Amino acid sequence: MNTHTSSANPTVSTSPTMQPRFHIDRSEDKTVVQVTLPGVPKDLIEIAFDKGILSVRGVRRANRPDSWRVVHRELADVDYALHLRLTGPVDVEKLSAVHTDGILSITLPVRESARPRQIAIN
Amino acid sequence: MKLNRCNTESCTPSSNSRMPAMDAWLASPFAGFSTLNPFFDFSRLFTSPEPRLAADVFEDDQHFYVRLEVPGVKKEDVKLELVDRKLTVSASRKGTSTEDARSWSLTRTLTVPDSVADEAISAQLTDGLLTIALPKQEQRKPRSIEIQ
Repeated sequence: MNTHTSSANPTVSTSPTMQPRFHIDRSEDKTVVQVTLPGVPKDLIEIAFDKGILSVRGVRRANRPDSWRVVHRELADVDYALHLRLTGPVDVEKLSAVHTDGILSITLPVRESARPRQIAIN
Repeated sequence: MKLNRCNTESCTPSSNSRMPAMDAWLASPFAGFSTLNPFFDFSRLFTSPEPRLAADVFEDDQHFYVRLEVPGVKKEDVKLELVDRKLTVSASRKGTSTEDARSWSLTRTLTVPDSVADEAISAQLTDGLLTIALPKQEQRKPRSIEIQ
């Protein structure tokens, strides 16, 4: 999994592109974007953040040994693509992502200087 | 994750027995469309009104393989049950609360061929895909017969 600003597609393919399901949680200090990418291995996920736009790409193929013959298919081969415009100052240096059980969870911390602060009255 | 085996006689019916399929559909015919989702097998929405886990089936000389999409589901929230050649897979994803849009629960029942050796069924969960390996019994494997 790479976190960078290029948006190169890992493969050239003719599979349909689909927007994955996603969920956004925002709090004072961070935004967490969860993207549903079942069957997409970690090395076929690309994450980019550039000019406030978070892009996620993932490639799903029915990964199987050559000896397996198809009996019945319902899970399509797809290229997932998601582009989200996120408002607010993001601390790009502290972006992080975790991929577990087919869910990619990206944490975008709010820049320290932009976080609300309690000011004590002396 | 565990595989429960039982005969019809020894299994008590599930306590949360579902509404008859058509009633469920009449109650909310377009329930699925607000959360269009590739892993809810929507292509079959009108022939099988309840969303179910989508599955691929493969085989080789030794096994059948069933692969189901279960994103965000933990191993302990998957149940496999084999009753009278019917393999039922139930999976649920638990969100942070019951209203959490990320929570769901789905099942899929598949008829297992007679040639499958029940005792050696195994399953593996990787990247949100559940792969179940169903070994074919020895006598059903292709074999070459020597001419005397």
